[in-house]
Amino acid sequence: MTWNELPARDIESWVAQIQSSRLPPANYKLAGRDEVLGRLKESSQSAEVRVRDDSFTLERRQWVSAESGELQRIVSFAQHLGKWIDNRILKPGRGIGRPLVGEFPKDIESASVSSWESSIEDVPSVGPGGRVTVYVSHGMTLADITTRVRTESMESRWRTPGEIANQFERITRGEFLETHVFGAFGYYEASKYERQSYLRTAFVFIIDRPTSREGPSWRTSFAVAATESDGIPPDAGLGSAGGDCL
Amino acid sequence: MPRRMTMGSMNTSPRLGVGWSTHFDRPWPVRILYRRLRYAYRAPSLFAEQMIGAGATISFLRFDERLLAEDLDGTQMALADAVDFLYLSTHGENKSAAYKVALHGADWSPASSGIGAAGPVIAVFDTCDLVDFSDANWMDSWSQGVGAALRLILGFAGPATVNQSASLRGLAFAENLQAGMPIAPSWLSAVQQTSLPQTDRAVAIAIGDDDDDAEYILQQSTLSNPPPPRTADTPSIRAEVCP
Repeated sequence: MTWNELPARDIESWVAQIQSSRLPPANYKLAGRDEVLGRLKESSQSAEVRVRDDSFTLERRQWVSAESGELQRIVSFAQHLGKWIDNRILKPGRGIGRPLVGEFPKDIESASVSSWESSIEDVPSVGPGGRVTVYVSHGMTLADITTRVRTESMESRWRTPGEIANQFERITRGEFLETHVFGAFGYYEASKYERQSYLRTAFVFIIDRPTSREGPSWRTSFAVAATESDGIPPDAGLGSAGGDCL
Repeated sequence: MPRRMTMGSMNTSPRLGVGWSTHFDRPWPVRILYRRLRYAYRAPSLFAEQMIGAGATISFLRFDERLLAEDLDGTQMALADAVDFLYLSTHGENKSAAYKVALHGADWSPASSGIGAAGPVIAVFDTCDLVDFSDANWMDSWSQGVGAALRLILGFAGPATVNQSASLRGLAFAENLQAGMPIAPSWLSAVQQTSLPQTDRAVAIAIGDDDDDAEYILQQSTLSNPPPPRTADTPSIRAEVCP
């Protein structure tokens, strides 16, 4: 996925441009605990992961010896399960050269993290979830698989660019002094610490006040529903990212 | 070779000090630059709740007008001396390699006020700009100012998102610690787990007696195996980021 720097006073044009390039993607109902367990039973490796009680996402913590080859097996396992559990496409996450953070000196160590971002029908995931990440730290591995299981597809309609721009302005209240605005479009998927009942497309915005001569920098972000579907509330699926962040 | 740490007192029942600042009293027109942080309370609260549930104790919990620089810098009190974990969430600034924490009424410069004389062992500055790696002297203040007890400083190299969703890093950090993950990786992965892709960059800074010691702290110190106070006069600094 890519963050685009946007003109804060003309979000509407960016939204319209994205909407004109494709049909509105489907929204989805997500599986509950029993459905996730049922899906896992189809896999011979179901015993190797834990289904979290809060979000029904999958995780595996394990101590491994670096020499055993077990680490590579866990990475492959997590990657396979992240794809298989919800028929997603996974691509390596971009670890270096991230546009919203600075580079760091070569003598600074970097944590051992392998990450893959998922997409559905060419629409990327844009939240803290929707990815497979394996952390390795001195013998302990933690594999997070936050590609949630979809159970039902729902047709959707684009919300108008004006509606989305109005919601953006209501949330930010015009607070643009020395700030930059970044945006991305995709399926918003929450972290493994939040329960989510629907998976829907969203426009995700970051408001960034970078370091300047006076006053502290700050950053906040929020998600705005891109589409609407019959039978689901307008903000369903956006979790705590859908609220007023300022 | 890294030496094995002796057990500290923290493994039985870590003592926590938590605080946050959601709004800021500064003179005009500078005040307008200190944006309100409506959700700054969430990360330290989620961290504390999860840790207390597993046996930690709270030594202090202060916020807004009750979280004073003079209660942290030793002018009136040195609250942080009595804790193992300090977790603060507010604005942070880094200018000329000097980091300061913006509290409600005034700024606090942890390094220059000698944080770590008796505690904390681990300080989490859940703020923007703990470190500015573009400044070649970024480690100077941490290698000169801090006390022997402070061994690990956790925060962000650059901006730190503050909102409801990202604040779940407080919960994630505690959960990772309790699962036995070393302290620094617990923080680095907690930020990664709760951030939007390609955004916030977490950092861990270890203060060791020498390079091997600092490396050991960075990679291997855990809740049940915390580092004892430093003995060398001149500390060695090592840092790790989440890529």
